[in-house]
Amino acid sequence: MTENIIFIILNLVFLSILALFLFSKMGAAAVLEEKYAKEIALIIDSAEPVMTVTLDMSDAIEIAIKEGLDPGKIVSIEENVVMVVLGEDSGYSYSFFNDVDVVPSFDSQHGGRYIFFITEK
Amino acid sequence: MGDKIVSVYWFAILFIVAAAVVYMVYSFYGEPYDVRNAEAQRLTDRTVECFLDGVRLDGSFRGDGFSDNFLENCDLNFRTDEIYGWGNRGQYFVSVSISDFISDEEIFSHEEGNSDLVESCVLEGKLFPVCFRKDVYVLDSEDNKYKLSVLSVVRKTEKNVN
Repeated sequence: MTENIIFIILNLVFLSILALFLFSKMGAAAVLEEKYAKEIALIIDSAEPVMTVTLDMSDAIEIAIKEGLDPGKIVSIEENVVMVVLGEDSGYSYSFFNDVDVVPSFDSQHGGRYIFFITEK
Repeated sequence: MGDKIVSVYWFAILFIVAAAVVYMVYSFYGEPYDVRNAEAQRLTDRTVECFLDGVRLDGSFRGDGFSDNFLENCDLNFRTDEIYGWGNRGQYFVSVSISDFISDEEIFSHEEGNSDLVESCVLEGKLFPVCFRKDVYVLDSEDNKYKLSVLSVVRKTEKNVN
């Protein structure tokens, strides 16, 4: 009886470690940086001036806060390149071809959202 | 402790399962998201929209200097990040052709971007640039029929494929 219980507990521990590993990879900063940089670039490519786009980035903002970063500075857009930074020594950039001006703004009232103001150049 | 816990076979199975999961996770999350198809489609659509005034063919492409300022006129910007040597080698290409639908006579054509990328459109494989072509049949303001063909090519291989 005891033997079986220990056997089941060890199995559960093993599965839990695997699940934790899987979830840690799913929410890894590098994965989210790439995901959001490309997503924002594609959103901008599909947008028309004058437009305001709201994007839920709560998972990325949570990581940025844990890393001690200012959530208002994790997304930056210079000319036509989107840069997402979720760590001290990391970051991912991706370019868009739509020739518009984009101003990213952290929605401090609603927490996990970013707002993109798209205007004509 | 019984046989099940200390068995060498049991530990071997644990190790194989763990190794398989780690391998699958790394191969899945290590692969970048390939968004070039979506980009090429959107670039094609945006170029088509540039030649339309609502649903009709806009005649502004006949004006002087339209081709010279194609990117500006169509609100496009082909500048990319300055990495992987992309600054010296364009990552986009667009080709536009407008022809009379009845006579098939070409009345306008223009190419913009890195024309070397077009050659890869006949090749298959994720390491090659992604091409997207669209043919649109349109009427002008006098109900003349035209065929508007747009081909877009997006490279950006290093950021979309491992």
